[in-house]
Amino acid sequence: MKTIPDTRGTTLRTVPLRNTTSALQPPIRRFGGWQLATAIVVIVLLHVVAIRETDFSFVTLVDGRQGMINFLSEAFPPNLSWEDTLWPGIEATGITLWIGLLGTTLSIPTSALLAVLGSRTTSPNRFVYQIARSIMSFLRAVPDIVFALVFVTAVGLGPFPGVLALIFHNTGVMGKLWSEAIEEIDPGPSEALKTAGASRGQIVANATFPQVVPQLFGLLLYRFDVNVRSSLVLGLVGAGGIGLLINQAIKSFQFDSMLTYILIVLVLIIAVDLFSAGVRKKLAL
Amino acid sequence: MATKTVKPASAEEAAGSAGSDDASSPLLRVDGLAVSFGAKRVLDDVSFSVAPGELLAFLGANGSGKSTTLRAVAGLTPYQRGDIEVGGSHGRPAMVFQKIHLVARRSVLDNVCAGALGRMSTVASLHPWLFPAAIRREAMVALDRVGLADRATDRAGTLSGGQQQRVAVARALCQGAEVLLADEPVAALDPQAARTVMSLLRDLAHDEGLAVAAVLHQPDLAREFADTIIGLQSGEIVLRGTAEEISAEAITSLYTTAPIAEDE
Repeated sequence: MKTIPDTRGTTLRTVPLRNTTSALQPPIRRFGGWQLATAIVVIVLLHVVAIRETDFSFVTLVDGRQGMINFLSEAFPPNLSWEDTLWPGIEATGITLWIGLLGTTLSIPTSALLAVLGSRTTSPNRFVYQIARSIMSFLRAVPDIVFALVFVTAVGLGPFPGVLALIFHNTGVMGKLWSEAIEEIDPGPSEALKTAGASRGQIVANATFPQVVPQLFGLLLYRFDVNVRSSLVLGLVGAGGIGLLINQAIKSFQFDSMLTYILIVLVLIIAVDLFSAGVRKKLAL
Repeated sequence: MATKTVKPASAEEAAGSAGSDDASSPLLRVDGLAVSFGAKRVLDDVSFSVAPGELLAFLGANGSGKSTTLRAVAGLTPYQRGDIEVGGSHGRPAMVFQKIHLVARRSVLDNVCAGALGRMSTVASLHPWLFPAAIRREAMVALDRVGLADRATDRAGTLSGGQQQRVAVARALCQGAEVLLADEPVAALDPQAARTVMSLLRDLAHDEGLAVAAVLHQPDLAREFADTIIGLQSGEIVLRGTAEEISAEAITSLYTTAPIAEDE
């Protein structure tokens, strides 16, 4: 067998190293002094306007300390009566949890559909892509509390309108997060299946989806975490759960019961947080 | 794209008849292929053919148009002029890539089965649990051919680079195509693994009658394993011949006199 001459060096041309330190001085970085000054002035002006418009004042806060002390002394110690406060609080917290759970899981199909249609790599065409993006933007732009108010007028007070509100808002947010996750995956396997003659749907099912599943599940858990907290706020507008009880306790000046409810909520939030962080950590491995 | 059915046979049957009736009739024929990216001409009047049982290697510097040629044949890059005729029962070539492109989280067997998606019904292709038993058997045969049947249930991502490229070859085999394109199949592999994969490609051509066209970056591998070598420079064929005919100097000149070009 013939041997191949080593050609690796043949194209190398040696360049004499310039023996001057000045030639290798890095260029001086010029700071846009006036640009920085303008930026600072603009930011300061914005804060002046914002502070005036929101009546933000440390003086008012310090003057109001007595009111806060009165409030806290009435709330403390928390009302730990099982029949009046603890058990109803735990029951209502359960409802809050169930609203968050259903609001998350029942929006999986709609989120998945919009995510696939609304990501550049899997959308069949630009028109469908724009439609899907617009729907997700709208659902994201309307706060869940506004959806809740709308659905309360439609189906009446209770947890059900809360679930509906979360499904609508979460579809927009989770769909967007999922579509971004889909766009970020390596397009290689999809290309390989395309050459093998797979259809668009087959590529999504066999290249896109199996690659992106850990990210989708992580985002799902994150949204569950957020939705449980949102469902608390939805209770304030009549969607049931612990939010409703907190609202009622404040309105009837039962601050000791309110404190109990807040402590129960604290336990719930920490539990959901630990659960979702734990599962996500497992997934990352 | 014009396609022509040379013979409606699977790869195994083609192996048996490769030497008989139409051994001279190429499985892949490319005539006058021209590709431009905007105003930039990437390929100009590229013509070649690959016969059953032949391993053709493309050599050339970065930006010479080797990969573009294969990608145009595979239907991944649109071309402005030229005819591409792909023989075989499907009229579609199979392709393996430098970056391998397996789904790392799925099993080796599921990845190989995915090569046959074009032959599966929509419902059967939704999830590996639904893949037809016949295709799973074909995939095992293909995996056995590349020597990895014992790794069928492992996750693809747990295999070494060379093993993963062999799985990608098995996936291409499972597609049932008789034309196999390989775009820098060994560029990311260590020398040992590179030789294993090149031997596999050569055996698939010589023993089973596949037409194999590979873009290579190592002239020594091309000279050792390829039957025919085509040298590209600035999108034109400047060198063509059997591995024996072409001198080492001619190959060297492909790289040394090439104009400086961007990466492909």
